Amino acid sequence: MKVLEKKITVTNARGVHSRVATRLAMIAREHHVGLRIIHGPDCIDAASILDVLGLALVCGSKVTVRIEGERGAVEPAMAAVRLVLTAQDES
Amino acid sequence: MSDKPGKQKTGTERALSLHGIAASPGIVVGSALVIRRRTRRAAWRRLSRRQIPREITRFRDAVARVEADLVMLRNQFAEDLADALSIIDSHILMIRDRMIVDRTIDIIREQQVNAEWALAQALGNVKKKFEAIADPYIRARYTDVKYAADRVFSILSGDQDKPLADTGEQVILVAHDFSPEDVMRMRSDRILGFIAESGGVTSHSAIVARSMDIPAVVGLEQITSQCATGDQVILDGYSGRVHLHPTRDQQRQHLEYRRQHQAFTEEIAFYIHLSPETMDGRRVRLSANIETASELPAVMKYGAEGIGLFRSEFDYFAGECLPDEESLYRIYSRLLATLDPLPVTIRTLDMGGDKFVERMAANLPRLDPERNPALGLRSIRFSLRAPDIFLTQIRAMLRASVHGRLRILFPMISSLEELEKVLGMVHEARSDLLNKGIAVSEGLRIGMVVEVPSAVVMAANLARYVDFFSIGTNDLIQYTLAIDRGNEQVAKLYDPLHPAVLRLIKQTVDAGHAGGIEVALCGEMAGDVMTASVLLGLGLDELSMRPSALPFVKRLLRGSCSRQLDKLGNRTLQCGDGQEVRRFLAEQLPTLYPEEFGEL
Repeated sequence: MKVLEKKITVTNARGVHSRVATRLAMIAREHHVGLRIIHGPDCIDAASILDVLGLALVCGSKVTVRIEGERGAVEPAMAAVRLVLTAQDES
Repeated sequence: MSDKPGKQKTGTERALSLHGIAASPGIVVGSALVIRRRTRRAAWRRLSRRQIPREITRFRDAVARVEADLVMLRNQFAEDLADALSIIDSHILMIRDRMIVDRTIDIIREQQVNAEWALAQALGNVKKKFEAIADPYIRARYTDVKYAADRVFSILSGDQDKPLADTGEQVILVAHDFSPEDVMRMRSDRILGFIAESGGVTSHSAIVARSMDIPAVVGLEQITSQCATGDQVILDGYSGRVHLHPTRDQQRQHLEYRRQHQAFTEEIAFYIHLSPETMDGRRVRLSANIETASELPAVMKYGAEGIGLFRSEFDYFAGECLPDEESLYRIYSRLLATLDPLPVTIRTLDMGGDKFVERMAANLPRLDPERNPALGLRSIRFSLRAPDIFLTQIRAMLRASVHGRLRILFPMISSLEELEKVLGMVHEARSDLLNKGIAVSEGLRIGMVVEVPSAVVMAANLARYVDFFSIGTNDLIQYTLAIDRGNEQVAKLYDPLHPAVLRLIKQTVDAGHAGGIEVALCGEMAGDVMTASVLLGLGLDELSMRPSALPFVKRLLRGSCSRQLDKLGNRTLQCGDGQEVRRFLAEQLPTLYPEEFGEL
């Protein structure tokens, strides 16, 4: 098991809305990893879309992403998370 | 079908036109099917300990049913409907969420109550959590949680999932609200379109409607009481208009209008590259109103000749703190460089001070709640009271000016004194930058929004101080007619074609031209083909509108000759009220523009 932590700044124009939150939950599932998002005093499991939306992350929010899983899975999962939090799509 | 007692139904109901929000384009004519869904109040039932396991199973089964339904619905659609599918996925996650499932089961156990009651409690907690979210876009997602939970409620209470309409006839659906899933089902149910009381352009149901080509108008707050099942309805998803009990002529005309729209959409590409001028060569700049740089592709696609209005507020509310000079500089530079050599008009902050204080309390002047915010400390008045914020924006714009053709626009100027203060700040900021060796473009233009009646009256004086005027009709109408458009008691009186409004526009144009400056107009009026025909006749040099309206207005312009436009404009100024203007236009436009207004 390996734990990887990275600080990421959210740069999606509309912040972490439901499509982004949905993608996060999917990433955790597809890569079989535990995915937690730490924002201020909150540390939540990204498997819960309502917890993720509840963080109310907007463009510019800084978060710490913690991924726990098999050695070969955490890195690609982190890359996917970064992509999702910094994508410029509008929806 | 049943009408409410007391409602008169004579068979020859009077035609009624309503204006809502255009959520998804397209025109359809058909009969209405009004769906009234009761908001269920969960009944409370106390359970014995023995009943609890069975109640939990009943709840889990209902959740599983809903999930299976959603998965099935998802599988009916091809992957190309990415937006729609992602919305279903988010609903599946919501219905499985621990805050819904685990919490409901805990409440069933702890309080020994029925599943409906427990779910309502759990949902109430989620609602509270969302209500505390400052970002309006994320906060609005509670609607989706509610849609998902409502399906569980209806299964728990034994409702069968019925098709939305089983009349076999093609209908236009009318309800308080439609979920994204409702909209997805519409395609297979042969639904022509839908009208809802709630919702907006960015609601998920609207997004799905657009991706599935289902015409929709939303935000008509009383439509379920104004309209009865079986009523004939015209739904115009381009303009956001709904006509109840239309005459045969109106129906024929709309079907024709639809045919033209379709044909026109196909030939749009042709117009995009043509210059915006009348047959005899009078040019009018047609530019776009946008809010974020992400709209630039649309600006290009529809052939705008620049940005006539960049509403700069978005960048102040996107992050957790106020944007700094650097980040604004980057945004503005990109905008200018992308459009160069076309001009970009950036309007400085235009909103109520209360909104700022609500969100970022520190470092801002303390404000008492205002009794009348539209007449209070907002827009330029707030900027002048918070000079740090204002100066940061001015500096960012000045620095960006070297990357393209910048026009700075100051909103809500109501007196010369205000304008002088603002210009003084720009002057100082410019000198300061130049002293530090930072370049500022020589070609920079400075203008003001004319939206307060006092500015119209004093336009000749103000014109000496600025390079251009831009008339903001949304506020000008509100201040001139003393109508709050958001107040439904008086909203009907909000009339862009009121001759008082038209005369003020004309007065501003004349004063600007006499002072040797250009006059633009950037309100919603510019994007409506009918009102645009009048505006073109009032002598405006530029009309700025939502990008998708551009080709329509351009075609109108290219089909006109300037004498004809002037005559039309001048004649409307002589009318006594908005009704007379409309009657006059209904007479004239079909002959002048048979393609746009034929058989009106």
